[in-house]
Amino acid sequence: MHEINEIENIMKNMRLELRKGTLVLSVLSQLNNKHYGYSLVTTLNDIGLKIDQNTLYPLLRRLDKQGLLDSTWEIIEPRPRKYYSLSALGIEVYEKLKIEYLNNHFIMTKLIKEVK
Amino acid sequence: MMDLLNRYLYQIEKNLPRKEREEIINELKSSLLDQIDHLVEQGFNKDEAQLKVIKESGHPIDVAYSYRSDTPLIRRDLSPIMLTIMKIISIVLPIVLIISKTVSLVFSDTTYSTAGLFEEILLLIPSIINALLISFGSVFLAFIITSKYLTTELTSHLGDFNPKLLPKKPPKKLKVSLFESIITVIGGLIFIYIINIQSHVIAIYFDSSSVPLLNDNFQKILPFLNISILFNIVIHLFYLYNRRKNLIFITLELIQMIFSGVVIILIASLDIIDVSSLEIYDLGFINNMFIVGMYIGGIGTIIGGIIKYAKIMIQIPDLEELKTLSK
Repeated sequence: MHEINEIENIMKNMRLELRKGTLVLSVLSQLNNKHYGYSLVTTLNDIGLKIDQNTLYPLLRRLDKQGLLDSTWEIIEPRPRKYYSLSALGIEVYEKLKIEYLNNHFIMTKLIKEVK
Repeated sequence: MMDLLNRYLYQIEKNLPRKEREEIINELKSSLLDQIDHLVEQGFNKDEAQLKVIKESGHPIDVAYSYRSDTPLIRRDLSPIMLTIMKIISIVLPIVLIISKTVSLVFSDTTYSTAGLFEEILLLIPSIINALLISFGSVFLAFIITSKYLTTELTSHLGDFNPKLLPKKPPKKLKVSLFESIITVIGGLIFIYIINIQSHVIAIYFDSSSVPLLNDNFQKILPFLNISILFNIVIHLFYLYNRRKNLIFITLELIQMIFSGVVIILIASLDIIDVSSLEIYDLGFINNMFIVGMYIGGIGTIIGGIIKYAKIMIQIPDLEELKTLSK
């Protein structure tokens, strides 16, 4: 019998790795509409994807640098905020990534069912 | 009230790559303020909300490192320790080298002119740079190796951090007291004039005759005194010109104060007063008083300089905040 702690530790790492791959897709999926950092955190949270700002903001910056996002500072009361949305390149990449993911999902579902 | 948030952001900023600092901090600040507003809407008071948001956001170093895509050579829990050590080295090493050089020059057989002494100190600069490079390199290497092989995470100090203990933001612009600088420059120039050209006025006056007080030993220490005062005058001329202090000049001021402290102590130990002329008037005790006074003055100057510097550099949280914490 394995310790519950041990299983939990292993699961924690695996969950993280599993999530890592899908995080970009989750973020891109919401950026058809303009979002600023905190509004994106709350939107994703409401849907059920818990993400903290220390993961999201660096990710947004990375995607922005890669040219997948357009970002602008907008001064709307009560304070200036940096808004992100998909760039033309971002839309293209998002569509391709989506197909990749759905394809993976299809294969994975089949694999898991076969084992059963 | 936003003081705590600014202190928090400053600690993050310090650990971010320089190029991206402004952008990242602006965005983070905007987001943290959004979160605070959100909590206030839910009924928290502003201070509570601020504290909660900062706590949930996490340790400043963790936040800063989440923006780094590269694997740093120095582990994130070790890098603040390394930076502190390097800062201490960069201040202490030049001071120690300058002082040891000064002491060895004073007790050498040759008597230096002010210009000659100045040259000696200029020649010290390359060896200071050399020593700094070697020490920085060794510290850096030591930390790379430690980062690689130390397995225990020093996260305990990162994990539960207390936002209330965040250090104060050091003031960017330190005001210059014009009065102090003008007095220092004028007083310094007068003093240099007297000790170099009119040193015979430092004498005992009695019945319209005077006996010079200083003996030849004074000539030995004179160049050091000149350099110390000139150094101080240059610093204060810069203050008068620039109207504000910066970190480099505050550090130079510390070095100057320690240097002049050492010179004053050397004056005390060199018997520069002509005791024989004092004894004519039965005033031998003046020499003893002078020596004791100089020792106290020299040590006081050094301690005073260090305290002055430490007060600016170490931003200790307010005592009030510490009190509320211990309750």
